[in-house]
Amino acid sequence: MFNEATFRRHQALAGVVLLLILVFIARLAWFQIGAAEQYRDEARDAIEVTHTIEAVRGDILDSEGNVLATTIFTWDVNIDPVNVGPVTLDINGKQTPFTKEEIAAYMAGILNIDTKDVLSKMTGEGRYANLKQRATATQFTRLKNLDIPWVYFDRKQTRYYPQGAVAGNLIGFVGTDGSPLAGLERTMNSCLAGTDGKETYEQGADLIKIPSSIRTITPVRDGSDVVLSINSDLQYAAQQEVAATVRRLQADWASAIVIEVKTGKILAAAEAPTVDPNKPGAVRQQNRASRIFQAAFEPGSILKPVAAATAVDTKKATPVSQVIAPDKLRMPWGQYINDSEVHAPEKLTLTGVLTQSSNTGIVQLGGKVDSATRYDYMKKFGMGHKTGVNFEGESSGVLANYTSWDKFTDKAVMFGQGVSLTPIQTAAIFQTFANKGVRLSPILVSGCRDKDGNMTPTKVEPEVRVLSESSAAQTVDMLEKVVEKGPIGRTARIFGYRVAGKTGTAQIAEGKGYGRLHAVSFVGLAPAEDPQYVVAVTAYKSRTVSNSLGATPGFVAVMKQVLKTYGIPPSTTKSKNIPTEWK
Amino acid sequence: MSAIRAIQPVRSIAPRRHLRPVPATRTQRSVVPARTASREQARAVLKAVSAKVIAGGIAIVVLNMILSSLANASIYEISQLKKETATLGTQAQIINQQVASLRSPQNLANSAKDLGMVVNSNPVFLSVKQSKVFGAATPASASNSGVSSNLIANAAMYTTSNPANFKASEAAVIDVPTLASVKAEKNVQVQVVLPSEGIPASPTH
Repeated sequence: MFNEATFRRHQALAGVVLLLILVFIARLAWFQIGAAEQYRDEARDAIEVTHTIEAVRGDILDSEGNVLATTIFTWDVNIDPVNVGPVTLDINGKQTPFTKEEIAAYMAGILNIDTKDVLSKMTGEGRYANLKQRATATQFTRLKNLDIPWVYFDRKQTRYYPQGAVAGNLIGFVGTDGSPLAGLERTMNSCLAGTDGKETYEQGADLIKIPSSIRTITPVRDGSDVVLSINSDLQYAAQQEVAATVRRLQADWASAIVIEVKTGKILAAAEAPTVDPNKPGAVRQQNRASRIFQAAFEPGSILKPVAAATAVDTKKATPVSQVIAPDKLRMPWGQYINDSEVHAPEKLTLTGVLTQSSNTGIVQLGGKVDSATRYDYMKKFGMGHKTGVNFEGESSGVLANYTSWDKFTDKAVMFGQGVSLTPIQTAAIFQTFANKGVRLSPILVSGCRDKDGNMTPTKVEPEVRVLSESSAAQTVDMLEKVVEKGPIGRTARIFGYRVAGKTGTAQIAEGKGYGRLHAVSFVGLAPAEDPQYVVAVTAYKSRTVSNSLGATPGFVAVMKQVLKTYGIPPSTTKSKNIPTEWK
Repeated sequence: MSAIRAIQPVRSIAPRRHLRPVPATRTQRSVVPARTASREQARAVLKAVSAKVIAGGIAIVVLNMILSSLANASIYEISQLKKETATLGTQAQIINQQVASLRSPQNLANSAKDLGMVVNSNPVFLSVKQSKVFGAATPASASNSGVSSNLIANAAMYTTSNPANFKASEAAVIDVPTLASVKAEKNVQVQVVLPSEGIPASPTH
């Protein structure tokens, strides 16, 4: 009996123990299997760090690979005020104590800020005070080497433009936070910006990254480079010229464009005043953009070759078609069209009309073509449409439909009034004459090149045949006479080269009429026997010279620079003998 | 009977051969010693295996310790090398910016002007084919030159070829009065020196 009772007690005890063991096993299984994921995650979270890898923004390069915009690093210098105190630094192997005032003075000297500011930021119970934003690499290195425990740094990407204002009008700029604000920085952002990456890793107590724990969640992809058609040396030379032009003429602004005739590539698009993207705030807002693409104005006589070429192409006139050009021409409805100067009636050919820049002459010869046809040609020359560059805020200019032209406008469009163009549209018209009558879409951005060197070329609008090859050649021949014989055109000559071009002195619309100041320009091409380059120079609101004499020196200087840069040999042929007058 | 017996051919009667079972004992004899041997062998094998397992285990543990200490050392080495890379990257950036400043068109234009050079606005072209000179070669002078002074802004031109053109703000960084000794010791020594016959250059930033 006793044995049996003991046995039963033992049995019960064993049962309880077994039950407890089972409970423990179950619980253990729960930790190990059921809730394992959760606990593993919790453990990992305690030591795991998620880190964003910032993609580096791409560069903007010129056609020769010169860097116009790139990304560098700068550092925000911060302090931890609550921990500020005296420090001991290693000077020549000797431990040397410094007071916080001494350190403040030294830091202020390096960061080029006021010592009092540094000291005031050092005091307080806060954990963060910013001493300086975007300190340079040199400043950072000097401070970092001191190894002061209560100074810490935040590295930031910063845009850096090593050539300053060279092509600043095109490149644009970014904000202090790095966001693209203007120009190609903004419009080409999808090419320039990369994709930030993300990785996680486990970190030891001493903040050391444990290599085997690194997991890439999103791979980082750095931005691609934007390659321009611009030649930065030429751009600089052209900018120097337009800056000098603005000074000489006391003009509001001036621009110079260089286009490669056979490709439509814009080799230089210079403006003054312009922006240094390193410091956009240094110039007024209206000078931070590109007037070459954005400012449309009535171009004046520079458009006469369009009317002449249209007449030639439609067989209504030839370069030697004759006309009597008075200084005032009475229109059938009573209004007068005037030349810029008082003169006796001149017996001019169409070529002579361009050489003398006669309004009355071009109205008579160009007017042989009906309005609808002239309008069609103007459209084909690209007027009233943005160029293929599609620059940010680009203007399409104004070309009203011929059906809405009044009687005066119908005539005035032939000498460049009643229609407005941007400087790039005007340059594209002369590219058409030079390129055997085919207008090419101007190219500013050659393409987007990724870090592996794969280039995605910019989409180019299809070319437009505007004039027959023969009409284009005849137009260039006529324009060559402008430089040979024109009273102002002559100042655009370049010794050794055959140059063709046209002057323009345009009145500037003000209120309902025209103001006192002019937009003076000269657009030319060289060498005339096989045109390679078009150079278009404009000065807006010239105050010292009121005709295109203000623009020809700039044209000559830029064209000479182009011919030197690209090694164009001097001309070996002579211009055609085309009469400008008749008897 | 005996005669009969006598004439009976004498032949040797060979004992009849019978198939007989292999004595069980033989089998037992051969099996029993084998069993004994295999047990001994098994024990030996077991000993050897366990010795190897133990040795292997110890080796693994030791190797693991070695590897992990090596790996740990590498982690710190990697971390150290990364820091060095960052420092060198920063130095490279400083030098690159100095080079970019020195080669910027603004600095070149200013340097050329300081050396007394002017832009030749009257280039003369030579045609080797025709043995001809195009244009009249006249010496360039300040009066007939093109734009010689730099007119284009560049706020990023930290370093110039002419020490006289150092920016005041950058120059201030060089001369820090209170802790000159700290500066001298701790500054990164970056010198940009052009060949002696070239344009004099000096580090700044």
